[in-house]
Amino acid sequence: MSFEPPWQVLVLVANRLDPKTLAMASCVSKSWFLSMSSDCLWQPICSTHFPYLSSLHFSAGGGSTVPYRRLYTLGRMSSKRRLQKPPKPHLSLHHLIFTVDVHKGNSVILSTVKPLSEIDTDPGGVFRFDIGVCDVEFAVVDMLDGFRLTWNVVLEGYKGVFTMMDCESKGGPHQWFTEELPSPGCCSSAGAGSGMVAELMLGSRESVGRMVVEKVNVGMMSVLSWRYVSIDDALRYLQHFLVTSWV
Amino acid sequence: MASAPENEKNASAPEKKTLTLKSMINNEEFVVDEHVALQSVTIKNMVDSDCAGDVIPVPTISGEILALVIEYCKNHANPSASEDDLKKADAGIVAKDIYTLIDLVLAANFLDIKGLLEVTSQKIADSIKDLPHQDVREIFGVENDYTPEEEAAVRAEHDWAFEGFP
Repeated sequence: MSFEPPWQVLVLVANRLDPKTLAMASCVSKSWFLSMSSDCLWQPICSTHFPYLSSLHFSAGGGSTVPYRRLYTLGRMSSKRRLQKPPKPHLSLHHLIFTVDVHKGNSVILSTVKPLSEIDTDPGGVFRFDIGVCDVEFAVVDMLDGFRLTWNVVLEGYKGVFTMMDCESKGGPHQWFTEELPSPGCCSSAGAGSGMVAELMLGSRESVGRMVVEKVNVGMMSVLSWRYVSIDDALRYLQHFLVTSWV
Repeated sequence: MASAPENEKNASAPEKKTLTLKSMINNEEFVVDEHVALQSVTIKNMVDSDCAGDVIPVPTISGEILALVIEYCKNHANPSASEDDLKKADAGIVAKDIYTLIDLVLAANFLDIKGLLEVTSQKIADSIKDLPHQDVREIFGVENDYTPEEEAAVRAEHDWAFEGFP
């Protein structure tokens, strides 16, 4: 059976449809298209959702105007682009190796190299790792008058290396260190940071004047939320520094 | 019924005006209290300008649809009906198949009964909300007069709306 609802009905109903249903209903038939795509319907929709588009409609110039239905599509695309998810990183964790050095002058207190493929990832999917080290002992007194701490990320095959942290301890038995990470940007944001910090914690216990380091925790944190960043975000950040030297 | 005494009062009132509405499709006649019928702006205008005779002919509206329209007007002319009662009654009136709804929306439009027009067209709108065009065609029994190429083009133009549909 074929039946065409009178156009008055289409017009009456169209006034009550949301943009998505209107757009789909435009594809029903030619007469439906005419009823569902009129400027009378789409103009109020445009000015509610995207007021700037209505101004665009009139400033088109040359006397020609764009249908509001098209402008709405444009508006949707532009707001959607803002929500666009960043691409998946092409680096993955098993491409990376961490190195952590604690040294004082010329003497190395602790030096460890760990491929990420050998470390368990955080169950929450954040960039935070527990690097087990075989108990490393040194005198507490060594810690007191300062030492230097370096955390590097090496791309497998020595294709690139990036320093996450390189800081000097001014002394005192500190065990928690943070250092701001540089901006990865596509923009030259001189002076502006990345909003992220590298974090390093020495997990240690003291025993009779000696310090025993049992583990080292490293991670990347956002200073905006004070949360660890996701693994994907961290990989996207790292690939900016590592993959340029990869090519 | 709680409203019985009031009815008696009305009945004893000198003369209670009624109007007769006649469907010109199947000649069915309905005798309706004037204040009920006057909810139709079209009928009110006729009465106000003295164009209405004893019987008001209603073209293009069948007796079946006219009965629904009168049911709606009666409900809404009852001053003791609560908003909830009316909502329920309205929902009952528009719980019909799509073809009846289309006739009803046309009748409401012709007779100019704002509330009925609203609930009926909203009901039709709800029945196709978020449905892809193929389903809408089926519901309304509309023939697709696009060529496959034309349909692909118009669909591509509205692609954003089809998110989540194959």
